[in-house]
Amino acid sequence: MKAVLAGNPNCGKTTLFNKLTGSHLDTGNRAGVTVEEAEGRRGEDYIYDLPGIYSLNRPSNEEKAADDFLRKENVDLIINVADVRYLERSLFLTTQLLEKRKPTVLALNMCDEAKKLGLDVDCEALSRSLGCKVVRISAKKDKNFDELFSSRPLPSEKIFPSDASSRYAECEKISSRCVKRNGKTSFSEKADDILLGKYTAFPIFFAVMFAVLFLCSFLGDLAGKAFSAATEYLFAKINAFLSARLSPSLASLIGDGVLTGVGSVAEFLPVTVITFFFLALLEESGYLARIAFLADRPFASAGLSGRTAISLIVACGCTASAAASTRTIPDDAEREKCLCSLHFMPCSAKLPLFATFVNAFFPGNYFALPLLYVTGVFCVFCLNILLPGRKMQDFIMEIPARKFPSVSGVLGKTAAFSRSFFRRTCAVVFVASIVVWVLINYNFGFRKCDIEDSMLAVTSEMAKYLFYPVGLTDKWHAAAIAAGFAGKETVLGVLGVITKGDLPSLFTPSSALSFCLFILLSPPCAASCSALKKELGGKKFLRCLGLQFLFAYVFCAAFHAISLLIGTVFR
Amino acid sequence: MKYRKNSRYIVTALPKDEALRIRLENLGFTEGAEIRFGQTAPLGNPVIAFVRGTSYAFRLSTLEKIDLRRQEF
Repeated sequence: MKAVLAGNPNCGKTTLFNKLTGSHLDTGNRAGVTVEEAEGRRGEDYIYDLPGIYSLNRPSNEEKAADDFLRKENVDLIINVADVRYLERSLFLTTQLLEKRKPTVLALNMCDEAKKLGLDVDCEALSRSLGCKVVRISAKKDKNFDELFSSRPLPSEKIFPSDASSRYAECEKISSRCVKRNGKTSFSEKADDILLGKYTAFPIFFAVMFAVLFLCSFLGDLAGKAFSAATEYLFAKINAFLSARLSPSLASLIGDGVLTGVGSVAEFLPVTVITFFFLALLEESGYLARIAFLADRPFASAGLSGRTAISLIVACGCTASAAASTRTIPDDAEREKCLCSLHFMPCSAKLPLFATFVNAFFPGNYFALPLLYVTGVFCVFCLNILLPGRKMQDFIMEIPARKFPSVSGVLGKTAAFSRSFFRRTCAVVFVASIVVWVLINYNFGFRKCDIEDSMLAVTSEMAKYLFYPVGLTDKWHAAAIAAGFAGKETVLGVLGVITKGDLPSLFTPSSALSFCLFILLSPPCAASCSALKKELGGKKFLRCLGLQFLFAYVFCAAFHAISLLIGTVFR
Repeated sequence: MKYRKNSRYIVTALPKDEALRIRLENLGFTEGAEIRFGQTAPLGNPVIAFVRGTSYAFRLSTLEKIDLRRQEF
């Protein structure tokens, strides 16, 4: 049997899908987390998860895709998931799904939350009004799933008005007849008065962001040190074991190449997981959507919107997952600009690099890290103000209900994020560390040689002149920047191999600053590039990549020139 | 502030632009629907509008394309 899950955005379809099929797809308390249909199996049955839609009329890509799916695929059962709290709006889609004349069951989700608000639904009456089976479920607590599949319902024969306003009036009638309200039913707006209040909103926003950033780098640093100490100990044991049994070059490939590379991942693993944890917390609580509301006005002046703000915050975790999140942006021009600016945010792979540099060159400077985020946002604005096509777009965005984030929800999301992130990066880092090992241990005749005569040294000796205007003069600067394409964490790995842990031997404070700035702004890693290519298509992707490189180069060169000037004036 | 908090309006006409009209209709902003306004963002734009029990953020420029009639009490 083929069953398809359809429903409004943010009604819990994907939570239900994950529970039914044992999958781990990404969920979140905002519209548009699911952007592609997904397939899963529950015993003998195939189950499909569609992106959230409000209707089958075709204004957006999601709605078109969902409608096409229902037309083309021979679906045996439509499971229409509806959030009871927004039943009236959900019914608009329900009536259209019923007109497909397929066996349909209406799954009422979030019944527990609704009960707390004093809402109760008369399922019998609802079933009679719609002519379809109605089941109360709880996607989160695995309630009543078997009932969805227990008996094959008959297609509804009800006829609904064809024009939108009478259809909605009908939905209003059904909903008011079937939903019993007792006591206070309005969602509490009190907290939003403060969270979004005229004088309180921005102080709260900056406090929240600063706290998140502080905890990410503090906890990440702590856990990272413990983690890398453990892996170092482990790798030393492995190295001793290998060098006793294998030929020297093979032992060096595994020891210095693979293990060093994997070790660099191990060090930033805690930061990444912790960053994902806080992102999950922001998303689950509904605050992320509120940030979009607050940030829309400033972003509008750069031709962007509040939705871009959401993607930029997701990009603090990983540029590649942020690329997928841009699909909720309805305007293509804005979406392209947003995709070109995502990499300006210090992602969780860049964070350990910056932290290492701050510790080495500007110890005890607590403003250095937040300043990088500010610089990132500043560059987003710079780039987008410079780009043409800044016109005021229409902007409508659903503000989801605030909720107290559940432990299982946040942890599950963190796990799902981290899993997909490491699946993406581990293979890249593994291959990259082998490649780097070969490049620094062999010369062009493929003979084992000293690092100063290696392929990497010879090539970067030529490439280093490219980075003179940026303020980076050593060949190893160029080599480390090139390694950043494999993954920003490999930059730290390569620098570690070259300097043997002594960064000041390679950088002055001023070149360290230029280096950090260039890494912050330069085009993203290979995994993110492939995500951008998927979102943009080949031609636009190349244009975007060129733009990113050009912007980073010009911006850093200008920064270097200005700092030189200030240096000479104040000598 | 143009749309005061808790003021109520009735939608009297939708924009001519078809894509926007369908988008609004899907969300419940149909002719005759009642809108209640909520918080305005600290920088004056956008504004929250409640329709059929759901809240949406609206840019004022988008809102101006919809004809609204003030409900008095």
